[in-house]
Amino acid sequence: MSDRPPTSDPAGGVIERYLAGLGRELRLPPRLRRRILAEAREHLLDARSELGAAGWSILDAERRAVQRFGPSRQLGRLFVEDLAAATARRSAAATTLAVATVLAGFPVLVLAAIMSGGAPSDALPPPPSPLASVALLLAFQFAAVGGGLGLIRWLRWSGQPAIPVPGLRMLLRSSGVAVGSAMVAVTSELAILLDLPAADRGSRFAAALTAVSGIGSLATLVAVVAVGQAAVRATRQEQLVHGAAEPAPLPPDVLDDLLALTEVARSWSSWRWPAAARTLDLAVEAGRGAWAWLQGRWPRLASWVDLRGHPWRVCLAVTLAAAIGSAQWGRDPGEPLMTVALWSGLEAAAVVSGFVLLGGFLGLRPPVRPRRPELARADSSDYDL
Amino acid sequence: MKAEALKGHLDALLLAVIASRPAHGYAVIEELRRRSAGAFDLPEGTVYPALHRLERAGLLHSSWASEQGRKRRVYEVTDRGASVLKDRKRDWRGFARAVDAVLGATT
Repeated sequence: MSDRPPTSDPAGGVIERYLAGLGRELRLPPRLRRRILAEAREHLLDARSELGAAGWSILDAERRAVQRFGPSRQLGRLFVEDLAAATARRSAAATTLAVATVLAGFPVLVLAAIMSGGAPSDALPPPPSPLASVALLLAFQFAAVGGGLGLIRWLRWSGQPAIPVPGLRMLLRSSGVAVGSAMVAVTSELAILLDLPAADRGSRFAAALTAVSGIGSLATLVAVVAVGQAAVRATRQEQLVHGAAEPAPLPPDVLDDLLALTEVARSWSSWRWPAAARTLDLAVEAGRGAWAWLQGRWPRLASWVDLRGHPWRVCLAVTLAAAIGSAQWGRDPGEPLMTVALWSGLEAAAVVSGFVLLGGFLGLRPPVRPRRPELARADSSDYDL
Repeated sequence: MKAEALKGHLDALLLAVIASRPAHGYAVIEELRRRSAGAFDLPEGTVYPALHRLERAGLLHSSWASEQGRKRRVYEVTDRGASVLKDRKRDWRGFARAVDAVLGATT
């Protein structure tokens, strides 16, 4: 459009109509929406005044001001994406804190059990609450996996104004699993506490359990609220994107996230700490070299740790490692073999069922549907303004 | 210059403009256009999500102010924002020097 002042008749109303449209696009908390609309109105009135002073008619000045401001749909989406990303990052921070708090309770319980005269495995006393003890053991591990994935994805998207829908979904799924598991863990702790015999309620173990479950419950509650809020805002962003009829990119898996995180760390440190960036480059190169060497020397062994090529082999390898680790941990010399086998079996079942039920959901294994090359993965650079 | 070219730099540009003096959104975009001699001519509304994001990150502070009978949201840089701006300037100069060195070597 030419900047030459046109000569239409004075009219007006264009700005108000534009603001009404923008208001419909801003699926945001009412207070924030009011503020954005007030700022937009002042901006557009300033632009109209400036153009009016340059000789434009009111109608054309308003049209030009609105045009310069940008399409309301695009602006609405920028605001919604921005808020969804900020809320998701905040929820990931709250989740990390909650998971760290709940997991930190475990060594506290072990220490308390030892100080009370028991073995480390007494932190999860089989009697009187075997079900709660098993639930606690599994919940700790699910929380650790969900929290770890959430942390990777949080750091991966840190500093980005917006997170594409598939990335946002994976971040929230990780946080959701972590927070859900943390809830199960603190509930199990409370159940164990309530089941303790009256004689043991004054013990160090009971005191530690009370403190651990209380602090864990508080941190988990905060995280639940944060994740719930982030899920609502992510849904709004998703509705906007679906409304725009864009092709849905494939969700990133954990390897995508790790590679992207490495690139973020390298880029972040390149100008601040060049030595750190060089070290990271060397580490990545060494990792690639080691992988190539392993594939060349022992291709069959390499296939057991190739998550994308053979996810079920990786699952089996992790299951075996977890079962062996579980058999060794806190084992008393005189413990019956049956008990050891029971705990190892439980651990193995937990790993396999977790992988079957949540592996695809959390991006630990590739999606079941075939990958189509025309569906590009979400690229953070598309959102980096 | 298209908005595409400003990817990753808009936050620093906004901080630099507001660090000179507190300003409302319209004044920020005018100053951005003036300092870049019209090169940074992006859709004006796109500065507001960035301003809100910087405020949420604690790099800007804003408040309503009355000016010639009009209510305007005026933004100013916080101490943390000033510190981040200093880092971004240093990063940019390092990057620009490196690019200049490469481009200069090829001419």
